Amino acid sequence: MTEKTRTSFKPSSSSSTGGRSNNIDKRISYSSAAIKDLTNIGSLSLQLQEYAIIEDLLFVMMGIEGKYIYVSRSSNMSSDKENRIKGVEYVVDKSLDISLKELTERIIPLATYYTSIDAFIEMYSAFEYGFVNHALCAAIKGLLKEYLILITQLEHQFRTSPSFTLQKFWFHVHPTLHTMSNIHSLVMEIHEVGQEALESEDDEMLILEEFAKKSAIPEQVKGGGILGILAERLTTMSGDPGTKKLYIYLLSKASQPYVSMLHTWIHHGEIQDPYEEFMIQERKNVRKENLKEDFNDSYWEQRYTPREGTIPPFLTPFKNKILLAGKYLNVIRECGIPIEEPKKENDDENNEKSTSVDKTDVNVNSDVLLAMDGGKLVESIEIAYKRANRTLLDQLLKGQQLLARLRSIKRYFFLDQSDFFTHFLDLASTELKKPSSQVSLTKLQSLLDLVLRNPSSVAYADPFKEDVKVEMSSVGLVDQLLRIINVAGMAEPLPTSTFSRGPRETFNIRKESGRIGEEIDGDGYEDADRLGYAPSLAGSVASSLAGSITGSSNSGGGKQALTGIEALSLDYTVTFPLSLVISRKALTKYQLLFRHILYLKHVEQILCSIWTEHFKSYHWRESSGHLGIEAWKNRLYVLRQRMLVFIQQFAYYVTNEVLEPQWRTLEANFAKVSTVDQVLEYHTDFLDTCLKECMLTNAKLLRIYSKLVYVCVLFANYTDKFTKSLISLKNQLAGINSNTGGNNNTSTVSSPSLQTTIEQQERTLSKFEDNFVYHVRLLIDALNFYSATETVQFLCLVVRLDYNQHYSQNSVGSAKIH
Amino acid sequence: MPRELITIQTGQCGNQIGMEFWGQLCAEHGISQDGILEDFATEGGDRKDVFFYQADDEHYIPRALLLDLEPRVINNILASKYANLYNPENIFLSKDGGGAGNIWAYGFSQAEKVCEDIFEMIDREADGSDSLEGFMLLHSIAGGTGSGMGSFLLERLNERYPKKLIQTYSVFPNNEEVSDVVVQPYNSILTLKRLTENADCVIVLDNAALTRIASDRLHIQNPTFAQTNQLVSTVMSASTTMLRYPGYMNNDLVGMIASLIPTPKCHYLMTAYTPFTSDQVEKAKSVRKTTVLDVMRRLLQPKNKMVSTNPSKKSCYISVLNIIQGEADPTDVHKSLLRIRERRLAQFIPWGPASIQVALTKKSPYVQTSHRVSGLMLANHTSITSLLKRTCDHYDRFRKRGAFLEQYKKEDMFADSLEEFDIARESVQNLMKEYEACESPDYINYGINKS
Repeated sequence: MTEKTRTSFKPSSSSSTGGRSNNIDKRISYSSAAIKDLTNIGSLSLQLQEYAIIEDLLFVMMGIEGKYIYVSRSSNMSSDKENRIKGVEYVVDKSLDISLKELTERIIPLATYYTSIDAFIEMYSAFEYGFVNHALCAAIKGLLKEYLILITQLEHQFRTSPSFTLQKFWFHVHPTLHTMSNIHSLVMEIHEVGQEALESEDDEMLILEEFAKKSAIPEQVKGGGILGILAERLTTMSGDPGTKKLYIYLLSKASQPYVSMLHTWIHHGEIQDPYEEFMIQERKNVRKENLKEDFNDSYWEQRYTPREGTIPPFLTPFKNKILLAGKYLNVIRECGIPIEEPKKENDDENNEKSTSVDKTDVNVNSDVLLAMDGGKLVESIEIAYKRANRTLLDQLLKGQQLLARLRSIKRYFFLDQSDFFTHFLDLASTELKKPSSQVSLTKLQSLLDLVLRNPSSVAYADPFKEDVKVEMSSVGLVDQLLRIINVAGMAEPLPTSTFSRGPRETFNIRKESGRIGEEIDGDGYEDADRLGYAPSLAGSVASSLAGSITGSSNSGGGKQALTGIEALSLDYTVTFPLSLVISRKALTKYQLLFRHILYLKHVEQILCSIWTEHFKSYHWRESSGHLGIEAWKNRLYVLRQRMLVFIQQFAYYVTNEVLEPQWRTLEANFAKVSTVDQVLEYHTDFLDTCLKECMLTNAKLLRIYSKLVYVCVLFANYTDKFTKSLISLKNQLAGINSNTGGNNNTSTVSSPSLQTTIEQQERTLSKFEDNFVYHVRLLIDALNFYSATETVQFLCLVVRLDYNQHYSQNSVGSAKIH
Repeated sequence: MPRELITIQTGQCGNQIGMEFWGQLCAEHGISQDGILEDFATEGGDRKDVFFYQADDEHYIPRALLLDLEPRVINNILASKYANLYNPENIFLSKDGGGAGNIWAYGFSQAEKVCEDIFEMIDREADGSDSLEGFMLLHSIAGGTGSGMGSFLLERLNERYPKKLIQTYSVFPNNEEVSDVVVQPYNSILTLKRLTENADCVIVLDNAALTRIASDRLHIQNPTFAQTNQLVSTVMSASTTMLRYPGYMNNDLVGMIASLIPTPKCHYLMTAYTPFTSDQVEKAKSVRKTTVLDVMRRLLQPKNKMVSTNPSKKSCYISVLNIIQGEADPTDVHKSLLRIRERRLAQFIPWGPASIQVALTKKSPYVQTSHRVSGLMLANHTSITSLLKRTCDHYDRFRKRGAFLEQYKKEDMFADSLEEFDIARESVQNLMKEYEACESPDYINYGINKS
């Protein structure tokens, strides 16, 4: 087609032959006449007028002012680029014969176009306009060269052929005029788009003016933008075969650098784009190393982003595929795996498939796409995308053993085979009782290593056990969660006191906003700077129990530092590219779940140790013989049992009704994923659902739950006091018995003082009972309520917590004991 | 690793079920008859060290003590294919080898005499474990050695290891049949007192029920000891799966039994198991369908229980733990729980929250079974009193007549008076009272009501 375009500039050869000598004569006579009378062409003979004007036209068409064709006053030949690009307008001497003048004026726009295009080329060939502009300018320059050749040929004919008239001139120039006007209007459009973009950016530029000066080329008139304009014009004007050919030619030329950029991107995952023309933007400051450290890092989302404004419309259907293909390859390259060239055979194999897949897209833009890269573009995008996707997916799932990794994370963070962890807690129990600031991390780490390396542990077979690290968190779990909910829900700045360091502030959990906000307001959230498992809540419970429970190890209600067990958390070393999936954000979610489970386990363990105390220690085991004391003991047992049942059922719910089913869903999903983004999506969904169903995302539930747990812990810590009371009661009883004659069988005997002691103990116990039962009921009610809005999974928990409908049936009655 | 359990098997019955138990464990863990890990058993996700330890030559040795006063059963074991499995130092045979003659008192006093030797073994085993969690005693309560020596050990273990759990698998005699051990009511009552006061958890295995299951469920008219013992070993291995195949929860004994047993005395657990198939017991008929719901429903049926009780209308569950083995879908559990509640298949205590805990565990990859899911129920049910009552009635009849007491009076303990019998009887009576009290909503104030 380029050949045809060129020929249109050539005057028909038939007219150029013959009568050469005549023309020369005329020329001589004309030039002598011209010298005579320079100003008034109208005074010349018609023939001379014609010669003179042809002579002038030949100059003017190259942008040089003629004798009788002047540069119009309105478009002064100025050095201002902006004006030059509009082209120079010419006027013809008024005295010219009217018919000649008409013809001349038809031809004159060519000159304007030429100057305009020339100025455009000059301007847009500057390096900062980018490859696509360079290519476009080169293409246009080629056309201009044809145009100049046409002029020389015309001049040659003019000099040699006696029959060369202005009409002939017009005849030869006519098709070119069409082409030139098209190029001109293209040039003008590009320029206008550029101007508009510049103006709209002006405001922003003001601030950055100093920096902006140099690179102020708006992206609309660079790279993709230019291609977009070309493609649009191609489609809108495709009715005219000549114009269509022209644009196809220009587009194919201009898109060459772009296509090669596209190829390096989709086949190598690299961007060579010094002028920021390409549709994909690379942010070099977003680095993969941050994935491991920075919580909010969004390497995957932000490292490569499409420049939305400048994607050529014909490429929009493939935008995602192009972006992903390169992104995937880039990751693979970052892993240090060589990227093979796409194999030819492979291409052939895939050709049929890919073309059939995207037929609809192809049809819409077939002309445009045909112009680019000889129509192979779509196929190669498709092939590249599939290849990149497959490679990275294989790399993640097979090479990096993603599933095995997640399984290992599940083992450590969800404790799905927790034998090693029970052992760890046994070994580290003394260390973990200390305030978290005094806990030696190295010691804990070595204990954990010891446990994991024990060949009889199930975890021994895990190849990734080296990657688990012990960590101490600075914030209590519930407080951290409340803060997260707070941030996510209210989107308000946090109380700054202790939180300013918190890196997880912007942690985002999907939440309905309004209601939670109210609830948080309603509760004593300002207490939050007192750390602990649920320090902000501990206060209220502690104070309600405070009357009789004073001096218990944990009920002081004062500023309590986190103990080791409350702060204990795990970390996991993840390497690139796995850190794409298991990012810091994901790990934090794992950590939250881990701490939740850990604390449940811990409370279960301390309740079990009370059980052991009750069952094995002499004082509890041996009957006192006094009915009041025995009844009190029995109540204590029953309360312990309630707590234990609550904690165990809760733990069962979390592990067997949330984590395990969700995990199975995830595994099933992973078995059928086809893209890396799906992997990411499924994994995020998995974690979010787990958090939500473990009710870690609802402030109200979390609050009640943590109060319950706190009562349990308080009760456990109070056991020593209970034991002491029991011993003193027994001593009192022994005293009475010895006074009254030491008859143990008279168990109804009791002194007033013993009775009061027992009553006092019963009151203490009642406080625990009331508090616990009250909160369990509250939790069940809340769960029933939220099961409608949050997740029906909560109903499973209700069923578990109140299977024999003890709480729901005896709404006030027998649970309270007096 | 932590939380080891030492198994003490005493007497004829204890050693017989022990032998089956260890055979079963070996099969499930892929340990050969000589204690060597089979080549295929490399990644079972199991934990062997709760019940085994490794000798210098990598052999797995059961943490088991084989005690008997007569050599017959232990010699049988030593002649069997598992002869090399056990640590020979852990086998105790009375020097005179005369046995206890089915007399509790003799077994008790014999044990007292050889107490030093036995505790030397126990101490050695205890020292060999990292953090011993407790002891498992396998015995019958009817014979002489298992009941007498077992009782003695229960008392002493509590003194020697005051913080260690003691769980027993106690085989109760079949009261309906004429037994060759005529004095079994005496032995039972005396043992029951120790079980009540010195053990933390008693898993009741009722010979009557075992025979019934064998004939009804498995269609064996006159089951042999080996066949009923296979039932027992199945139950035992199932009840320890959570310790051997770690999961999310209950990786130690205390976590398992603490919620089952709220108050110290009511610690008699009954078991049910389904399905019994030919894998465990020869000639057992196959069960067609095993879903989680199916298994959980079957477990609540009296005919699958390993204890024959006569539940009254007020009888109720204090707690239930279902251990589901195999490929169970965790979401099924919730559905099953709801269904069971809808149909009121289980009655629970009125004085506190109680529910069916369901633990899902792995199944041994080395033992092929035809069914997908199997289940074991451990339940604390008040109807256990009917079993106790039967024993008491039996005892009362004997005692009234003063029959067969001469043998007991030969021993020091009973030489002067038979008070020990009365104390034991009262202790059992109190236990029954407490279980009955559990059926009332006022149990929380138990003690006050007693007056």
